[in-house]
Amino acid sequence: MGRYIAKRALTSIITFFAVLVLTFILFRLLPGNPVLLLFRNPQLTQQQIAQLSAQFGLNRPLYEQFILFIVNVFRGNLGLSFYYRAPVTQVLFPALLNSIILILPSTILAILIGVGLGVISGWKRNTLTDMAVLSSSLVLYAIPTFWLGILLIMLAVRIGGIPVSGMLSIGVSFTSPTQYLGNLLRHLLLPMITLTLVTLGQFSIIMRTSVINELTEDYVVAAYAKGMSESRLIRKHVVPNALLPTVSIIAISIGTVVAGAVLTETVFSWPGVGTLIYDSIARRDYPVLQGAFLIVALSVIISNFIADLVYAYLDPRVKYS
Amino acid sequence: MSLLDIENLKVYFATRAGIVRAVDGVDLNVGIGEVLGLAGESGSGKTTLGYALMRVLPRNAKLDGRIIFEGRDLLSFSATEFNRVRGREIAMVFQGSMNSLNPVVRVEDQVAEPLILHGGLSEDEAKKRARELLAEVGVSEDKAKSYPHELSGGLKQRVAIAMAISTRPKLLIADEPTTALDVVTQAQILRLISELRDRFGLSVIMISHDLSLLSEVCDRLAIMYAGKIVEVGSKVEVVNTPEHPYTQALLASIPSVERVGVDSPSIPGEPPDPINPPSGCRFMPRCAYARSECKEFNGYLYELSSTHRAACVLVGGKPIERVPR
Amino acid sequence: MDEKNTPYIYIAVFAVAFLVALAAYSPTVRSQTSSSTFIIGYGGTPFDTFNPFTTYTVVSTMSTLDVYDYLVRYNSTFSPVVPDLAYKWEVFPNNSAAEFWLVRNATWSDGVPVTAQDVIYSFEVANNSASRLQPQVSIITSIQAPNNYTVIFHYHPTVLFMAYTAAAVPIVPEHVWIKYVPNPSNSTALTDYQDYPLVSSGPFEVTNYVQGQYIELTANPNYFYVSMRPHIQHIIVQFFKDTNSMVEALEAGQIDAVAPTILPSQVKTLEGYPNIRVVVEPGEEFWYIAVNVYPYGHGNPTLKDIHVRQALAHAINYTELAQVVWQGYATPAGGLLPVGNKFYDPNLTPYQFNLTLANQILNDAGYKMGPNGVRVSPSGIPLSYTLYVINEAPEEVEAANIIAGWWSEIGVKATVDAVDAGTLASIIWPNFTQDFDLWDWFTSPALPTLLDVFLSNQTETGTSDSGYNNSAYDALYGQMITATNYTTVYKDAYELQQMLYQDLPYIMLYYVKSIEAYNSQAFTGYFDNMTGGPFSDVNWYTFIDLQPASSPQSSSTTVQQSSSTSSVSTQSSSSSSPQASSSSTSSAPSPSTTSSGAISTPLIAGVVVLVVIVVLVVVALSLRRRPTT
Repeated sequence: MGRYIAKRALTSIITFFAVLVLTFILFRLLPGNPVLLLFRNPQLTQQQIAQLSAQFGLNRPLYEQFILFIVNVFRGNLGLSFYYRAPVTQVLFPALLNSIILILPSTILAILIGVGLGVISGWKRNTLTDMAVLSSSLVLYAIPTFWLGILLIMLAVRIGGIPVSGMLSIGVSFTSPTQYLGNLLRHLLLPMITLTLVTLGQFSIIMRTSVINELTEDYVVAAYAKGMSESRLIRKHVVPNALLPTVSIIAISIGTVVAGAVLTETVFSWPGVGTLIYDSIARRDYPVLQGAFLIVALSVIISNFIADLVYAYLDPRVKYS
Repeated sequence: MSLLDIENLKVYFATRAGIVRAVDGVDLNVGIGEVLGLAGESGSGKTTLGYALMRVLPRNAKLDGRIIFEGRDLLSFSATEFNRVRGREIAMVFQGSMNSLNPVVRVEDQVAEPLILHGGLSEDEAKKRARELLAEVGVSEDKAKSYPHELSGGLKQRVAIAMAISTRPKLLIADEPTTALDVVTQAQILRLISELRDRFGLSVIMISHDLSLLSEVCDRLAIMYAGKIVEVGSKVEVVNTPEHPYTQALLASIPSVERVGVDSPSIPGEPPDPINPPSGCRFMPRCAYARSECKEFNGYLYELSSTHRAACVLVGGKPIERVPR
Repeated sequence: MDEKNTPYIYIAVFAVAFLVALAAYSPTVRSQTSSSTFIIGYGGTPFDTFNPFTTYTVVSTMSTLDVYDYLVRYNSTFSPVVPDLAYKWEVFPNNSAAEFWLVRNATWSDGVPVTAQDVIYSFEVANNSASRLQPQVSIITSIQAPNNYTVIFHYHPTVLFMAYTAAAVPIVPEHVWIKYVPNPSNSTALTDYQDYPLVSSGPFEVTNYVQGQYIELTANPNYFYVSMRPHIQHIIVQFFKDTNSMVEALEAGQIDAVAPTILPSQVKTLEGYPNIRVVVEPGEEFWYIAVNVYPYGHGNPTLKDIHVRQALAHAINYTELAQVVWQGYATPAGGLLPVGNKFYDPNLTPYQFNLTLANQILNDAGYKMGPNGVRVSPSGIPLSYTLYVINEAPEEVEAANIIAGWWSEIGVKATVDAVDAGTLASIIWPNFTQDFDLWDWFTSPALPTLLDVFLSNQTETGTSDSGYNNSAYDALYGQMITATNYTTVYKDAYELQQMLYQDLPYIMLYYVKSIEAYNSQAFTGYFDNMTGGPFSDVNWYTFIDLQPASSPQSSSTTVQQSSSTSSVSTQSSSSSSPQASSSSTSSAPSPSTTSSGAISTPLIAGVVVLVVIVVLVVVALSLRRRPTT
């Protein structure tokens, strides 16, 4: 088991390094010079442009820029944002934290609800319940995030009292941490509902398929022949097996959900990392993009790694070689 | 007093193509401590019959008739009531080629499960008992902690048997228990079943297509064709003096070590369509002795002796000259 | 059911109940004391930095407009300036020197008095190569402070000094900034300095900033201009990513105003709200098509022929375009400077839409119709072009397609290509490989200096997208920028615009109006009557005049001390005291949360569509009828 973990860890590290190289190259391939874009100002002189380019290191040869990049990454210095003229870490990390506050509970809820629905749907396959759950999951999966978000906003406006934007009420002083938390939860309500709804559809469908697959297996009949209730059969025999492929897929999708929350964050003006990435692309803000992509890549790699471990733990047939 | 009395059991499946009559009016009984062999080719309905007794059929199955077990009609039980019978008083061992064990659960836990379900034991007590049971069937202690994929086919079947008998059921249904196992293991498994029958008075219904196998271990034999029983009797009677043409053909087609170099005769033709079985005797299209009376024959099992019955017009009524056409 | 599972369920239920209770008892969306807090939503380019010299965002300028003081300020008619830190000034007759007298009771938020040292330092920093104000202060030759409250500037002669230079530079505290930017010309130090927390002297202070979320301004009770002290305690600028949700927040009463501008389609939804007022004023923005006339460029060479450009200009129906794309919220354009600009020339009317005339021009110039409906030049080059447009403005992409349609009727083929701004910038500069680009400019309503886009030397700076190269133009611009009286400035500005109008390096499209909206029942004092509307980057009155509707003090106090002696500066406009916007009648203080009585149709439609789709899918799936095994 130890060797297995070590091997997987090594693979992850190598993958991360490959991502570093790729990130660096990709962003340099984008057309457009950030200086010209940022400073599209009639009064900018040629000399000023040259000065700014030098300041941002854009006139050094590519390999020099790359080495500088790698060294800095491992020092924790992700550079200076072109747009904000502030350290990338200072720009990124608050946004990242805000994203996590939104994404983590939403994803967990989506997993719980989605998997639960999938089990119900798969067990009662081809009945009306199954059709209802399956079609709802399909529709939810297909709905554009911003459409659902705006629909919820309109609803909230009619009902009143539910914040439709931002993370906290502004201009309000909180007298205790519980008040702060309560206010945060209030603002979290709509974006979390939106993100959960659009995410759970795919989990439900995947789990349903997995359950249906398991139901064709022989051991299900054999277990049922032992004389247990249907619910026990599902809980103790079908679900643990059906969960195996689902766990892998879900763990991997968690890693990418960070970037996938862009739409939700935009509609609700949630100050997260998704919109930061989107804006930085338009502005050719390389340092912020590099930092953000590194973090997303890191989270994908880590969640893959955890997926491997979890799967190996759950499925005794995996060989620890 | 028989343990099990099956009266006119019918199992029909509703499919898109039509209604499949897998079991079409079967009468059968099993005594206490008796091993009944149920033979037939694939599609005869023997496995369906076994599943019907356990009520583990798919949702589109419809059952009719009566299954009297220890005086009670099992078909009148509700699902919850039957849960207390299934796996406890009637248990099943599946085909050796199947994966009847849950891949992610340890073997000893799987054997312990019926004990927890029906025996009211705690988890630890059940596991302890499970290990004892496994030892009884020949699975050593260190193997008890394994996962199914780590065991050989023979060991897995032993585990399946341990699982089935853990609650000391009265009736064991063994569906092709030795298929896909090598001959040596086969013999071991059969011997195990016999031992259990001897020690605990277990009744067994052994389902197989292999007559020679059945003839070794069974007390009585029933032959099934196209959803109906065509012959039933003691082992000696059926094997030595088969009366139904199908039984005769089956016995003739068993390859023998002595008849080396000679092809065993096979039965020409195919079993009838279970959705649209022909009226009259179902074996008629393939029977060497078919005649006009067969067209109106309804499958009645004529008595040849108090224990031996066969469903053929040649048996019932006046003795007729058996002249192949 | 297993015994073991039940505790988990209880825990889960309890946790959810706890969270719900927590949320429900949190302070409501707007606290009760919020009648003295004004929240404005901002949906444009996101905030970058407070540093007024290095910021490139309008929201930053807008937010710090009432935080920093300037020597002098623009008034609503840009006539041109009114006092701020300098209560009195004198421009010397040769227009190359000016003396300013500073008020003596101005203090920084840390208590230190504001002196001439701060002014000198600020102008020196403005001259930093990383400062966007550098070109405006580059005309200064020397600054002196004979005493702590007097500053004398010497500069290259121009009458535009007051409007162009003196009103442009915010005054920052030297004693604070010197620690981070000890040498005012060190560009790295200036770029790195984020200027937060902020020490300021203006009517408001920055009291909070949360990245990506909002800025909080609090009234400065010690502001030296007693009559200009704010009536509202707190102003919050809240950042929004999406204008739709921003407008929804306004409808829900969660914010009180929206800026910088909203779309015409959103105006419709706001019409049903009696407490929300939509303000339409001349804007600072215009859209145009730049034609590549760069002598060393690589676009289609036929564009260098004036006849082609004229024909194209006559082949656009500007009125219809403005109507279709902006639903009437844009004015067809003639001259370069838009209708709210001080130097706008009303005599330059939009080119007349006349396809017959356009066809005739091309015929007479020898462009024969080719086989597939595309004209060909005498030297065999087809009039087939690519029309680039930035895809951040989807309504302009629509405009480009409409224009291409009209042009096809005169035998010109234009393929519309929508790209993002960064890509377009790399296509144009430095090699000028494009034919056309459809883009926009924002320009200060007080100055004519946008005309410098067409100087020959602006092709390398990523500014001139037409590549216009005309030495006569360059010379005239140089004359305008050094003129010593306003008559000359106006004359030159008109003549420069006339040149552009004739030479058509830009085909002007329309001037876009600024559309803003605010809650007119909860607050009054919005200063609407100015180019750019109440919340622009030049309107410093609104935040000062704002007050809750219920407050007894309703008279607006923006009467300006119209200052000063002297000056040979001739003003073209007369009034010097701006009007205060009349407060809308408010009978009782109404809470800011309102809900429209009518359920909106889009909402119902959306829910109905959802339900219908689900039902359809259920039916479709049920009809499969696969065999169940």
